[in-house]
Amino acid sequence: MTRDAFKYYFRQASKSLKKNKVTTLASISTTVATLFILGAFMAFIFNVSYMTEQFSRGCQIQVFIDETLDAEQYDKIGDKIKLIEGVASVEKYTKEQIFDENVEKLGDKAEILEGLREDNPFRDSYKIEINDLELTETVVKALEKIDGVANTTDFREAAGYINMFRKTVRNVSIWVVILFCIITAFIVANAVKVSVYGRRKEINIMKYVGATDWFIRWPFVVEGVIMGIYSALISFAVIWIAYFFIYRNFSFQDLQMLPFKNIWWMLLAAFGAVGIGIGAAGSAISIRKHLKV
Amino acid sequence: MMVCARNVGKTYDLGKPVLSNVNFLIDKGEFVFLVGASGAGKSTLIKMFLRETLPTEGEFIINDKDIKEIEEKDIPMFRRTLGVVFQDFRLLDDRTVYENVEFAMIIVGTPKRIRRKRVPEILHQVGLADRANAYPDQLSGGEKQRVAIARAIINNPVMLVADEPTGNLDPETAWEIMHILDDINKRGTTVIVATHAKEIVDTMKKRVIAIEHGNIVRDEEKGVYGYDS
Repeated sequence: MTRDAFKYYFRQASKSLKKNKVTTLASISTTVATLFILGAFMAFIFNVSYMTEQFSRGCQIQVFIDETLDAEQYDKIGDKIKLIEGVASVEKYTKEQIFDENVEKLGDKAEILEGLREDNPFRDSYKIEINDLELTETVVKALEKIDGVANTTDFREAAGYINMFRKTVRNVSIWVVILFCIITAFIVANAVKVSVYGRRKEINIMKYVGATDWFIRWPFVVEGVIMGIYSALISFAVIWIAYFFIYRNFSFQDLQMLPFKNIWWMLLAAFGAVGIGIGAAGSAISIRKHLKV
Repeated sequence: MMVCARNVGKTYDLGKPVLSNVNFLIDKGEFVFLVGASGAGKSTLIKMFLRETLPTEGEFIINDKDIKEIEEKDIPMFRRTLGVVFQDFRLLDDRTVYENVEFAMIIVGTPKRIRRKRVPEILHQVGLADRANAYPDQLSGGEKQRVAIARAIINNPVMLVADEPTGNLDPETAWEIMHILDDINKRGTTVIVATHAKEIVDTMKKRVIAIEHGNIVRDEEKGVYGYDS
């Protein structure tokens, strides 16, 4: 493509965008709305993933050791636990620590327990963190196979629900995103169709003068791309502001939202790719039938 | 030889033939009038010159190439060897006279410095040197047709095809346009003109091909229109 030709395509595209102001504004607004929803879903998926990660860090498995074992055997069990796949960390949690914590919890009524200090009824244990909630079931089964493990407390049920929630959100979001991409493509294609219709005479003349199909198509593709870029930038600004307010006011237990700096580039890349890609493809498709002269 | 029609026939979707058994040869540098009543088949023939439609029978050869053998992707290159002028001018209303003519050069990728030199030359040739900055709605019918002619010849086509170029013009302006076309022909370009302008055809004494009901009924050197207009 020569510089002259590129200037020509760009000039024609800008002219057409200005000439069809109302359609241009309408399609940019709708594309912005679509991209905003796309971005909102993306931000939601990222945050669900981030929060489940935070939640899973808090979901520890506690392994209680048979009280007949001595300190050396207790340590050996700890070593075995560390070798289990999916185990992120293992922390000793002795019966003395458990006793003290319970005393602290009881406060004024701690005297009830104090009498039992010499004959501590609790068991030595380990607190285990795992890499991924999905591995809870496997890790617990492996723990139960170790000799000397009396019992375990875990969050298998909660982990199952969280995983199901995360998967459902992800799957629904993917379909919503695809649906909105298709809707956006239709909107942009329609806007370009209006522009193509207004310039069918010009296209006809071009064909008779010997213009190639791509020479005719390029200004429309550039038009779609410009609309895509504008829409992407506006949607990005809108979602940035919206995210900022939600982030500032978000409060749910100890969970935190993902900072915007961690996701801005993914949103901008997606908006750019979807906006520009759809703009270009929508334009190229809508002009096709007018090229048959 | 520039154009060779050999047993050309055209039938649209199982209807009556629009052209049948059409035969003629047109040499390089000739000036030819195509005459005949409306619906006789002139427009279909003009469309074949532009490779807009294909014959359903026979061969239509332009510049040694059967138009049936020109693939879709090669049509733009083929059309660059032709110039075309229509009755309704087909100018771009949002562009000046200069831009309308320059546009044909941009399409074929001519560099700007050549365009800057060539466009004024052509505008001068068609008598529009002082109207370069005017828009089509500021022009008379004759001026619009001159712009269309300038656009058609700017890329030095070997053949100029004009479909009723004077159909929308008063007799005096029609003559001006015909003189321009004659001048272009004298510079070596083959000119084919489909027309109903009896007086012009009768006066210019050029070759006349007459079509009736899709058949060539007359092909005369220095011919006449031959119908009541």
